Amino acid sequence: MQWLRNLPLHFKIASVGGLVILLMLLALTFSTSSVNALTASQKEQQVTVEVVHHIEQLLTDLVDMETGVRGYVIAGNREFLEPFEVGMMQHSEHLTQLEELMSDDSSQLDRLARIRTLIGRWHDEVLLPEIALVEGQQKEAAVAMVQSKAGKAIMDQIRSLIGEVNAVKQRQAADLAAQVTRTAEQSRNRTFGAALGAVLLSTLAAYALARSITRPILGLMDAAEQVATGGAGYQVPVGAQDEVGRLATAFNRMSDSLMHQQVEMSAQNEELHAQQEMLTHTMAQLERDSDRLRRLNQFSRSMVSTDIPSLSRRLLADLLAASGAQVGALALLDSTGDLKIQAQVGLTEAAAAAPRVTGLFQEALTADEPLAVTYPNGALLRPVYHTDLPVEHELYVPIRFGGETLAVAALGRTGPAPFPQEDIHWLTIMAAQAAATLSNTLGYEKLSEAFTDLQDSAAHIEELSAQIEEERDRVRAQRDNLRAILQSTSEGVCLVSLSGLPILVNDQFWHLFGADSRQELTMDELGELIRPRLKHPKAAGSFIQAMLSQTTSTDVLEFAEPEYRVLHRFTTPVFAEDGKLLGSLFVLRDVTREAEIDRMKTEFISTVSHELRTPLTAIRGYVDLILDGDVGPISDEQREFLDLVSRSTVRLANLINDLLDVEKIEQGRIHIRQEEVNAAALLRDVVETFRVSAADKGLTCDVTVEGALPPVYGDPDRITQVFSNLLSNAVKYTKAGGITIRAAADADRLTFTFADTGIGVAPDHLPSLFEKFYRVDNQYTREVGGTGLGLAITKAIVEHHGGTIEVQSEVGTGTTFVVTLPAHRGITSPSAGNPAHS
Amino acid sequence: MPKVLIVEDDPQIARIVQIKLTNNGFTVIHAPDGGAGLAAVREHRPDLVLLDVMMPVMDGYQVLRSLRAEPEFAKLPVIMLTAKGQERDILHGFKDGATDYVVKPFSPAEVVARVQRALR
Repeated sequence: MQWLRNLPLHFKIASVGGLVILLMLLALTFSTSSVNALTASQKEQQVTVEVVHHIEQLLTDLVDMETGVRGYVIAGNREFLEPFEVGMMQHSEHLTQLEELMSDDSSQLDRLARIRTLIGRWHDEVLLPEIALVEGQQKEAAVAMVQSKAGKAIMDQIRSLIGEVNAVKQRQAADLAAQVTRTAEQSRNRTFGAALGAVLLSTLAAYALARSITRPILGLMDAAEQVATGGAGYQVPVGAQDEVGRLATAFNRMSDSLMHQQVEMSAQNEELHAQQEMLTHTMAQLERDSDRLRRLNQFSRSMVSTDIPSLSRRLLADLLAASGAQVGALALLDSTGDLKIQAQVGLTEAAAAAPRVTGLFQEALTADEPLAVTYPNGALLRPVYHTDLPVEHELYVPIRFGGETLAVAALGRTGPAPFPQEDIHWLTIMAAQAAATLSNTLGYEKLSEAFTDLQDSAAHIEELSAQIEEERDRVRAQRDNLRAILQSTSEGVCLVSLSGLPILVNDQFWHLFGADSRQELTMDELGELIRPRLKHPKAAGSFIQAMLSQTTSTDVLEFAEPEYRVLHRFTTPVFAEDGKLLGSLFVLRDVTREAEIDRMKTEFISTVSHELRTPLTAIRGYVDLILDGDVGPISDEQREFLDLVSRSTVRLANLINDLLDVEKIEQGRIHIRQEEVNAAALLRDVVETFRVSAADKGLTCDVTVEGALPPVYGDPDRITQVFSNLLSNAVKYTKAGGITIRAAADADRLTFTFADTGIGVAPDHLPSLFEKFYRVDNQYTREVGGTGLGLAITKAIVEHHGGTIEVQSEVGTGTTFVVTLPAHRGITSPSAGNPAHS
Repeated sequence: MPKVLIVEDDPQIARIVQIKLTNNGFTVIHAPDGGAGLAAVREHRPDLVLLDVMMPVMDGYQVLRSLRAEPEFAKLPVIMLTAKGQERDILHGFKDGATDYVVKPFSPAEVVARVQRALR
């Protein structure tokens, strides 16, 4: 039945229509068959009527024949034979007619055949003989024959048969009529039934169809109404796969989808609801946070001007309030890196006064997050809190600013619930906020200190300012003085800046070049100015070079124009007090006249020394000739005296040699060999040569060399000369005691100290000690003798080696000479060394 | 007998050298200045010349250079007599072709020793 229900709706409607039409057709068929039956019955009745008619005719024919014959027989008139003949002709026709009418009934045909046969027999056996007898004038035989009733028997048989045929026919007709009536009745009944059935069926089908359509539609409608009123997910039973079924399926899908949507929506709704709840929660949280922030903000703002202890107290109080902790402490990291309790609530006195806190405080110092600790069953072992509260949870919050932990706050609370995560988070934020405040306050404290210092400084500065003002006036006056001095000096002075521009120049500087003092010249222009005037124009280059360099140097410039002039140049870098290089100072001195005198002096000395040597040579020569016995024998006394003369001559010659040495050294003509010299070894050798002469005078002679001395770059002979001169003097001028020689070195200098316990030099003589021919004139020195050139030569040699020589002395105590020589460190730096070599 | 020429402006020194050398078996000729010295060399063809440096008119170096300029005197031993004892002067003399040096004031015996050595 399912397939039926699955049929499409239009097909169903068509089916019902078709069914109704079919039933109508059936009814029509029934009525038609009834009519047909009636028609057949009528035909049968007509046949029966015809049969009856033909039977009656037949009987009539038979009667006519019998009567005719009988008449003939009786009357013997031929006229009576005519009916016979007509009957004879007609009865066959009637029989044939009957046969045709009842051709479908064999029993009747059989009867008819028997009738035909009997009639034949009757004709042949009765009628014809009788006729024949009449014709043969045997009329009595013919009437006897008629009276014999032979014909009557046959005739009876025929009549019986015909009666039979008629009866059968009549019965058949009656049967047919009854049958027709029945059939008609049946037909009517059927037609009626069919019509009724058609009406009923169509009504039923229509109803069923309507129902099959309306019921699911109603269901759908109900469902739709249900859906419309919010009954999502309502499912319509899908009875069939027809349009309504499909509609129902679609509806179900729609309903399903609606339900899904509704489910989703409700889920969303729930989520929204949850969100709303969360939002509400967050709002509340935010409000709380905002409240906290506002409080923190107020707190922070109120903190700015406060001091660290009260800030710490407030911070701790705030943290306690925020975390719901009952006890706590705030430890600040001090400058020594120790954590020290600054504020506390509920701590024992001992714990609060501890010089520094360690343990978890220390751990929290480097922890990234607050450190939560739980002491189950209130088993906090350390007697930190004197409160009776059983502290079960501790939280250590590092307070950090800019990656640096400033402090650690410890918070304690009773159980059983630990610090909520949210609170910890909030405390972290607070700690961060507080850290900024704390840092600010720490900074502020430092700043306050600095400010106090600054105020002190300001007062000091004011004082200083007044002093500076004074000083400035003084400097101004000094500068004016300086300027006046600068202008009044005969030397040309020029201060050249680092960029090579003259900053401070006196008039004399320009006048020395024959230039106008008003001229503002650059160094290049100055070079161009002096170049043509120089005796050696090439010297201009080195002159300008010197002006621009920042080293100390001197030289001499010879001018040919406008008149012969010799200028001594001295250049030295000028530094400010802070060591900053300001530039170079030039001092030009007109040494034309001095140079001339010097030249004359040198020439004079040279001449004198030559002129002295010549007679000396003669004296020595003659004396030696006498001593050698070249001019005859001499007495011992003569020999002794001549020997004295000879030695004095040699001494005089040495004096002259020294004199020449001094002169040459001063003129820069001394030749100093350049090589690495082991000065310590030289010193020891020289000391050894003096040991005998010192011992002769009963003097000690100690030499100490401290460590390994670096070499000196120079002339070993000349250095020997220096040591020798100083030792010679020491031995010469010491009566008792001894000589102590010490050699030492620092990074770049060797220092040689020659200390004696001799007669000493009076202070007024000391400055001149290194001058040529300077001799301290007293009884002793006269006894000792000397050229008065030794120290001058010594100084000259030392200075040519880039060294220094100094003397300290006290009369009666002794004299100390200190010689320094530059150390040679393997780097060739002949700059300080030796002009003669260049 | 080796012949020595002494060119010396100071007669005393010349005399001392002359006495000492003669006593030691030398023939000594004296020239009082540079010019005379050159002439004496050409005339007497000495075996050795003692040449003073500081002389008027023509100093010892000039005489030495003149002598060395003449091929026949290129190898003539010349000992300089000078008051200047410094290395630089000695170097100067050697550069000009001096054989040896004697520094004033000298011992006559030293001169004899140097002359003998120069002639060996």
